[in-house]
Amino acid sequence: MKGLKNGLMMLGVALMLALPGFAADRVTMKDGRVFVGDIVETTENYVRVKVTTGALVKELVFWMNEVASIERDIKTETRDSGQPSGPTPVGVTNVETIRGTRGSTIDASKHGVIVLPLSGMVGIEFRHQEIEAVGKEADRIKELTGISPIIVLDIESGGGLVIEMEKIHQTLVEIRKRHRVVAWIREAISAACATALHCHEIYFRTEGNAGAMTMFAGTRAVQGEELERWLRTAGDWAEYGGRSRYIAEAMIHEPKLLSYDKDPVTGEVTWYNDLSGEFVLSRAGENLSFTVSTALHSGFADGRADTEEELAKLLDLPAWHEVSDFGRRIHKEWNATIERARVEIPRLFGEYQIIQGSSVASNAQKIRQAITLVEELIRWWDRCPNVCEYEFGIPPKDVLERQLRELKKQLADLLAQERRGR
Amino acid sequence: MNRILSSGRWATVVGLGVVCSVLGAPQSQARVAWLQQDTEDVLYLNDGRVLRGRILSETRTDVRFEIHDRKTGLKSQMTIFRDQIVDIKRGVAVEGPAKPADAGAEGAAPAKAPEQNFDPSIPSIYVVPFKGEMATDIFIDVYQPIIDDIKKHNPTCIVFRLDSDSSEHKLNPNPRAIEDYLNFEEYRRLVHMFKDNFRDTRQVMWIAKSKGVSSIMALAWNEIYMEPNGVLDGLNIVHQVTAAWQDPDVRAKMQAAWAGIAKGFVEHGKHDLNLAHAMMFPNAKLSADFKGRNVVWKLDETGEVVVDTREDWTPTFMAEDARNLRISQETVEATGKDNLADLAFILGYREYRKCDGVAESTIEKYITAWRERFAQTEKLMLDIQDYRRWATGDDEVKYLGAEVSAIEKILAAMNQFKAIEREWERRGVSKLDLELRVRQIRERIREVNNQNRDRGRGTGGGGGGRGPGIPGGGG
Repeated sequence: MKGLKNGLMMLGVALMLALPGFAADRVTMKDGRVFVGDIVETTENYVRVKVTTGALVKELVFWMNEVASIERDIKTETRDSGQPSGPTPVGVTNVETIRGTRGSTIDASKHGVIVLPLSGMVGIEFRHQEIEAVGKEADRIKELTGISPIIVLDIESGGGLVIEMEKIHQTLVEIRKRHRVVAWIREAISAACATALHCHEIYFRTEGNAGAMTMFAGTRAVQGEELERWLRTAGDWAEYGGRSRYIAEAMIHEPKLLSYDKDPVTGEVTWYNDLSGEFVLSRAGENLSFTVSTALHSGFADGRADTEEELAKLLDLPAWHEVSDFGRRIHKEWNATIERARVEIPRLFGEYQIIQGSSVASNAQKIRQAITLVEELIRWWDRCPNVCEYEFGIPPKDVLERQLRELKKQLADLLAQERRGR
Repeated sequence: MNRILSSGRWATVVGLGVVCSVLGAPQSQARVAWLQQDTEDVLYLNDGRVLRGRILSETRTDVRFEIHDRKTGLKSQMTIFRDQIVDIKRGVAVEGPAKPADAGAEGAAPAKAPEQNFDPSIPSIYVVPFKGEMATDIFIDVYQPIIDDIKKHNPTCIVFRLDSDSSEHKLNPNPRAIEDYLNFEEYRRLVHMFKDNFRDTRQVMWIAKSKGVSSIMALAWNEIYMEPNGVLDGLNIVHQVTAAWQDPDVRAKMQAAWAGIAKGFVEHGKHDLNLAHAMMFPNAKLSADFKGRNVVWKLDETGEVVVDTREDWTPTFMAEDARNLRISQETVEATGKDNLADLAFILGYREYRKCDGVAESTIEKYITAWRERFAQTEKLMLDIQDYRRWATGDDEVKYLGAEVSAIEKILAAMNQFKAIEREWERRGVSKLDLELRVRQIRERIREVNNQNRDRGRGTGGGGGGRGPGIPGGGG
C-alpha cells in the first residue's frame, strides 16, 4: 500500500514536471524551511502564504522576524511546497480541527491565540501549573501545524502567595523562549502584576489596573534584607519584560519615587526614581498602581483593548481566532475544583465535630467517621494542595497518612476487643 | 409617545394668565409675559440645532440659557458651552404670533411656532433604577431579565436612575461590614452588562442620590445628570477600609490597590482620575482649572477654583456644584407624568416615548420582597435565641424541634434571595453554619430519644447543644 501510494505521488510529480513551470512565491525561513505557494498578505509583522503539500492546501502565517527571504513570482516546476530542510510542518486536514489535550479542540486554520484566564488568588486558583500546561499545548500546536499561537494571559487577580511567584517566574522564562506571551489586564495586583511584568507585551482593558507589589506577612511588610531582595528581584523581572526597574520599586516600597519625561516628538519615555520628571506617578507615602490612562501614556502598557476583536488588531492578527480552547478549559476545571473544595472541606469538618461530640455514636462509629474524614482530606490534598495548606491549614499529607494508619489500628484493636468481650 | 407639555397644563397656564390679568397679580403676569414677548435670543449650535429663548447669564466659557418651546409651551434651563455655539442673536423678533391661541377665543388662528431643529424621530427612553444599598438591593442577578427586556425594546437611550445610600449601612450596624460593600468585581460585571450589551445605545446616569460606594457606579458613565437635591459623595469608603493598616508600606499598597480598582470605573466614565482620588482620600486637596469646556483637576490648591483644602475631609458634590464644576451635564428635575419630561428635553428629545419596560417594577418588587423576607428572618433569629434558652428538661426536644423549623425557614429565605444570605454572612452567620446546626440538633434529638428509651420514659433530659453564634446572643 505504501509502495502504491509512493508510486502515485511520483506519477503526480512526473506529470507536473512534464507540464510548463509555474509562477509562485517562495518564503525561506531562517531555520531552513522553504515554503512555495501564493502569498496572500504581508504586513511589517507577518506574511500569510497559501501552500500546497500533496493534496492539502492550507494557509500558514509566519512572523517576519523568522523569515529569511521572500521571493515573488519565481519560476517553479511544481506548486508543491516540497520537503523543507528543517522540521516538517504537518498539516493534518484542510479543516484543521483536531483533538487537543484533555478534550480541547484545535483549529489551526488561521494564526491565532490560546487564552489562559488567570483569576483568583495567586497560588490557589492562579498557578504556574496551568501556565506551564498552556506552554506545552502551544508547543504541541506548533509541532502539529508549524504555527506558534500567541499565549494570552487574561488576568483578573488581587495577588497572592509569594512562594508561587518564583515558580511562575521560572515557568514564564522558559515559555517566553518559545512563544509570544501577552498579558491582558483587567486587574493585576501584587503577584498578579509581577506575572504580567514577564510578558512580551501588556494590554489593558479600560478598567484595568496593575501594581501594588508590596510583600507582606500578617500586617507587616517585609523589611531589611528581605525587602532589598524583593526590590532587586522584582526590578530584574521588570527589566526582563523590557520595563524600567524603577517601576517595580515604586510598586513595592512607599518611599520609592517615580516620574518620567516623554519626548513629545518621538514618544520615548525616560524614567526617574525621583520627582524630577514632568509626569509624577509615585510620591513619598504612595504605592504605584497603573490605570489604563497612566499605563498607556507612560508606555507601561502597549495598548488598550476591551474586546477580543480590539486585542486581535493590537496583536496584528487579521481576526480574533482561538487556536485551542485548552487554556479556558483547564481554568474552568481548576476553578470548579477549588469551589468544591471550599464547600466540601468545611462541611467535612463540621460533620466530624458533630459526630465526635455525639453520645449516641459508638466509639467504633466515631473512629470510622474519623477515618472517612482523613481519607477525604488526603484526596483533597491530591486535588488541590494549596487550598488545603493555605486556606484551611490542614496538616500535610504525610501527617494525615500517619494519622490514618493510627486510626485504622485503633479501629482494629477496638473491634478485636469487642469480639473478645463477647 | 409623550408630548413635552400636555394640553391640560397648557390650558392651565393660559387660564392663569387670564385670571391674573383680571386680578392684576404681578407675578402671574410675569409668568405669562414670556409668552407675550415679541423678541427672543437665538443660539445657533454647531450640531445644527437652533435654540430660542432667553439668555439668563453668560461667562467666558458658557451661556446659561432658558429655552422656550413656543409650540409646546415648555421652557427649560440649560448650560451651553461657547465652543458649541456658532452664533448668538439677541433680541430677535419672534416669528409668527407672540401669543399662543386662546382656548376660549373663537376664530383665533393657532400660533405658528418657530422651528426647533430637534431630532425629528421619536426617541424612546428606557429607565433602569439603581436603587437602595449596593450588593443587596442593587444586586447583579436581578438585572439579567432587565437586559433581555431592554434588548426587546431597543431604546434610543437608557437612563440609569441612581438613588442609593450605602454610607450608613442601615441593615447592618457593624462598621467592619463596610468592607463587604466593596464588592468591586460584581459591580464591574454589572457595569459591563450594560456597556457590553448596548455599546451603540446612549446611556446616561441620572442621580437622585449617590452616597457611599454607589458613587463608583455613577462615575462609570460619562453623561451624568443630577436632580436638584442630588448628591454625589462617599468614595472615601476606599480610605476607610485601608486606613486601619498600621504598616506604612502595607497601607500604601492597600490604598493603591483599592483605589486602582475603583479608578477603573472612573476610566470607563472618562472622568478625571484626580477628581476621583480626592473623593477617596481625605488628605488629598482639590482644585480645578477651566480650559474651555474642559475642567482640569489638580490635587493641590493652585487651580482657579479651589474645592478642597482640608486634610480630614473628602468633597461632597451637590447638584449645582456638580453642574458648575462640569461633573454633571445639567441639573434636571423629575417632571411630567413619567418624571422624564425635563430630562428628555435636556437630552435633546423634544418628543419621546418612555419604554414600558419591566425594570422599574422588577426592582421595586424585588427590593420589597427581599427586605420583607429578611425582616422575617431577623424575627426568626430572635425566636431561636428563645428556643435555645427554653430547650431544657422535658421541653428540650420540643424546642430543639422548633429551632430546626426556624432555621429551615431562614435557609429557605437564603435560597430564595442571595441578598439575605449575603446580609447574614456580614453578620457572621453563614448558610453552612445553619446547616450544620440543624445536623447537630438532629443528632442531639436522637441522643435524647435514646436516653429516654433506655430509661423507659417518654421525655428526656440533658442540655441542648450550642450552635454557631448569632447576633445578640446565643452560643
